[in-house]
Amino acid sequence: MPVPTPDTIYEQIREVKDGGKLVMLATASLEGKPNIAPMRFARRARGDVLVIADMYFCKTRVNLKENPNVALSVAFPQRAECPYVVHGQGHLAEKGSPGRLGELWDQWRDWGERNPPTEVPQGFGPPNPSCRAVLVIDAEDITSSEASSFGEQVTRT
Amino acid sequence: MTIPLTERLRHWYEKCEVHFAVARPGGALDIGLASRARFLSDRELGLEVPRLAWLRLRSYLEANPWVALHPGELGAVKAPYQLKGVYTRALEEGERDTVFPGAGDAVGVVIGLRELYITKPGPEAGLRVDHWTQEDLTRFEGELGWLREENW
Repeated sequence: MPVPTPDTIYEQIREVKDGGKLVMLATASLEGKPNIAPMRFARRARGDVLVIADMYFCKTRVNLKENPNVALSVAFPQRAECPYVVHGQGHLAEKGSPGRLGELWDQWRDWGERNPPTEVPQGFGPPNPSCRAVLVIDAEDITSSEASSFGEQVTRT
Repeated sequence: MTIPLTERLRHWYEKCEVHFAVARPGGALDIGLASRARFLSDRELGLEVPRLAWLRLRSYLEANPWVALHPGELGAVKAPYQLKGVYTRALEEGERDTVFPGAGDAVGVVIGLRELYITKPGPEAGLRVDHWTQEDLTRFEGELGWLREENW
C-alpha cells in the first residue's frame, strides 16, 4: 500500500457534486467541551489550507472564537479509504476580513450557489445553501485513525 | 437524567461507526472512531473502541471527561443527532463481551449521556433537544420527513 501524502489525503476531502461527501468537524470550548458535526462543503484551497463553508455553524462558531484548534475526519462515503484525522488551526473568513482571509472569502463566498447540495435527501439539507463565512483551516498534522495504527503521524514527503 | 432516544436515533447510532471528539482543558482535541455503539440504557451509551485508539485517547478523558459523538457513514447524512456526555467507565471483559460479541482486544467504553443536539443544517442547527420528551422528538422527526421509509 503506498504511503499516503497530504496531497492524496486532502484529495479525499474535496467536495463531490452529486456524490455527497461529508467530513466530521470537531471543535472545543477553551474549557475543553467538544463539539462534532458533519460538514458537506469541505475542500482543499491550497497547500495545507482546507476550507469549510459556514452554512449554519452554531456551537462551532462560538468555539472557534475562543479556541482555534480543530480536527476533522472523513465520515461518508469512503471513510475506509481515508482513515485519517487532520488537526489544525481554524479561522473564520467573512465579509470584511483582511488579507489572506479576505482573499479566501472572495474565492469561496458563493460556494453554496455554485454547488448546491442537490444530492441530499429532502428534509436533511439546508433550506438556503448560502455561505455566511468560510472556515479556513491551516492543517498542521495528519494522523491515522486505523485501528492498527491509530494516532501515528502520516509522513510528509 | 434521561435522553429522548427515539427508535430512529437508536437505529442509526447502533448501525454505523461513531466518530467521537475529545478535548483537553486548554482546547487541544482529537477524534476517535468507535467501530460499534450500543445503548445500555436511555442514559448510557457503550462504545467499542480499538485498543490502540483507547490507549492514545484515554489521557484526554482522564483530563476532561466530556465527549461529543456523531454517527458516521450514512448516519452522517441521515442521522443528524449529536450526543454529548461524559466518560464514565470501561466495561469489564465479561460485560464487554456481552455488549460487543467478538470485540477481540477492543475496549468497551461507557459514556454517560447528558445532552442531545440536532445537527441538520438550517434553522434547526444546534437545537438542543435533550429536555424534550421522546414523543416530542419523534413528532419533530416526522415533521422533517425523517420517518418516511426512504429516510430510515
